[in-house]
Amino acid sequence: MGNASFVIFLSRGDGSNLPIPFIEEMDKKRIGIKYCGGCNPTYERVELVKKVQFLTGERFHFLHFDQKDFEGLLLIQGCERACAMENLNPKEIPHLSITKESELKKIINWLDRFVEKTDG
Amino acid sequence: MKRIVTKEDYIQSLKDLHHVVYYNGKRVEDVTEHPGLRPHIDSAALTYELPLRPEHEDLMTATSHLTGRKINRFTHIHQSVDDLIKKVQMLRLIAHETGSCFQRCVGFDALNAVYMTTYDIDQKYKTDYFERFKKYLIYVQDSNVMVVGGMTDPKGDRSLSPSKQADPDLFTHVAERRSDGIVIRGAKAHMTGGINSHEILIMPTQAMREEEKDYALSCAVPLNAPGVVLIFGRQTNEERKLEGGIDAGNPFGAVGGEALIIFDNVFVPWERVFVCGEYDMAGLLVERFATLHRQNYGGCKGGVSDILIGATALAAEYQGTANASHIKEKLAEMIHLAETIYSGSVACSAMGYKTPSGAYYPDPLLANTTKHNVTRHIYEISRLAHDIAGGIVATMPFQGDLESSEVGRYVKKYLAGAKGIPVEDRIKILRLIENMSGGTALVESMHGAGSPQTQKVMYGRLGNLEQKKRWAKRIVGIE
Repeated sequence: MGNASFVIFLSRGDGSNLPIPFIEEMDKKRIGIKYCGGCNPTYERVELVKKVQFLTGERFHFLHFDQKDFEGLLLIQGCERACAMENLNPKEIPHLSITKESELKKIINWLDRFVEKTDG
Repeated sequence: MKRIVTKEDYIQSLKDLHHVVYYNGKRVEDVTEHPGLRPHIDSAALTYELPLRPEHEDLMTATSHLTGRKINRFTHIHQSVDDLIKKVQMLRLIAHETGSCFQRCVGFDALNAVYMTTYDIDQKYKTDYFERFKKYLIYVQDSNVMVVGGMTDPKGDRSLSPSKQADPDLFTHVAERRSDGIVIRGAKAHMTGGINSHEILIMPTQAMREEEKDYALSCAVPLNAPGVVLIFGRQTNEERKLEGGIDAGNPFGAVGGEALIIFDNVFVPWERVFVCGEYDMAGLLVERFATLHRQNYGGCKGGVSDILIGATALAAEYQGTANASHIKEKLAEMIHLAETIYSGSVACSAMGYKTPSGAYYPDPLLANTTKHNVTRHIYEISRLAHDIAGGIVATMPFQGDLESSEVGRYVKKYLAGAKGIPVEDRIKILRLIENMSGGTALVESMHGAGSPQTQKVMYGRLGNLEQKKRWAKRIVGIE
């Protein structure tokens, strides 16, 4: 998994402590974050993203959607209408669309699998 | 004007404006420092702050069809049905942050209405208003200034037309034409956000006749132009803002903060004049502005209602009544009414269409229905809030009593509600309900964007009654 220099353990917040290899900057996967507009969200979307960042440690660069230079995309939708998906071509980029706060684990699992897949 | 990007830029721009503002008879040198005005400024400031947050950028910004640059949505001309829907979504989201009016939509609607109508005027009269207006619009988009939507004249004796008034200045009009511009005189009433905006886009207040050519006027005036005077409108419980603290209720004030704006022989150069004498087109401009503005109310009042409903639900929890079936039923009714008005805003947006200018326009009948629903449902939502929260909303002691070393203990003892809820929290929520559901807030819901009778006039025009009669006859076989 890249040029791991050493291994640290980070609490996942669910009682488990998993090894999170220290990743060199250049090996960090670049994940774009796109929010819907937030007209009437059913949960605090920014707080969810902060939890994701905390739980994934230093393994990812999380970028604003505008920056374009990302390998995967997280769509943080305030509700089932999923407006952030509009005008996106799903085939163009690996993405995960989240519409509920309870999907936090789904995000973590997707990010873990994303790293495995793209590292080969 | 340097581009305004952040809240800090906006505050500084108001400090630098040096417009002539009066509050309770006294000139205000710096509106940003006045406690009676600062809540409204902080509310409007969110229209500058929120576009900078990634989680709201999609709704708060747009791409200018004139320059291709990213702009604040409040300066955008609607280019699609999606834009119309995003507008009302945006209004709802900002209301979640303020629980109050944030004022900028009036100018937003004025920009769109004047854009559409100057195009039509040019087609009919071969004038160049549209190109002139686009240049002004680019300035607004690039600088991100806040524009007042200047429609409503004081009107004087309502039984008389503008040209028949004892005082001709009771409707804003052209007083003099020069080679380099015009001089205008008059006033605009109920100007939302007046004291904390940079410009006013003046429009005629009603359809005009030939003898009222001078009143068929649309122009843009900087609010610090010589001859412009702003007088702030006193609201219900105005002095609460001066105290601040818990008893003020909402730190963002009640409604927008309206002003009477006077034009005392104000010079307007021709490049800022967009309608001047084309009296037969005044009615169309008024109708378009009214429709665009009525479109909003389900969005902003839907969002404000979300806050009032949340506060009411908390009031019930804090006093231990939340599990009662009638409380749940009343909250459900409040939600029903809030979503009804929101659905109206979405509907008139979804049924919007392209005008000859290329700008998109909401369905007028549905927009009027939306506003008309607001004039009723906000009162009912407020009534239910009072019902659930209880009489304590009207009888609470002062914040000073809560903090008093002599009687504070009595307030904490006898205003206690459900276990574990600090009395201060209970009082804060009740004061929020009080602020949002009485006086000025209700009147604004009634009259903002047009009084109920104006919506009924539109039902008469757009309600398609003759066709409805034909359908009824057809069903029962009447020839």
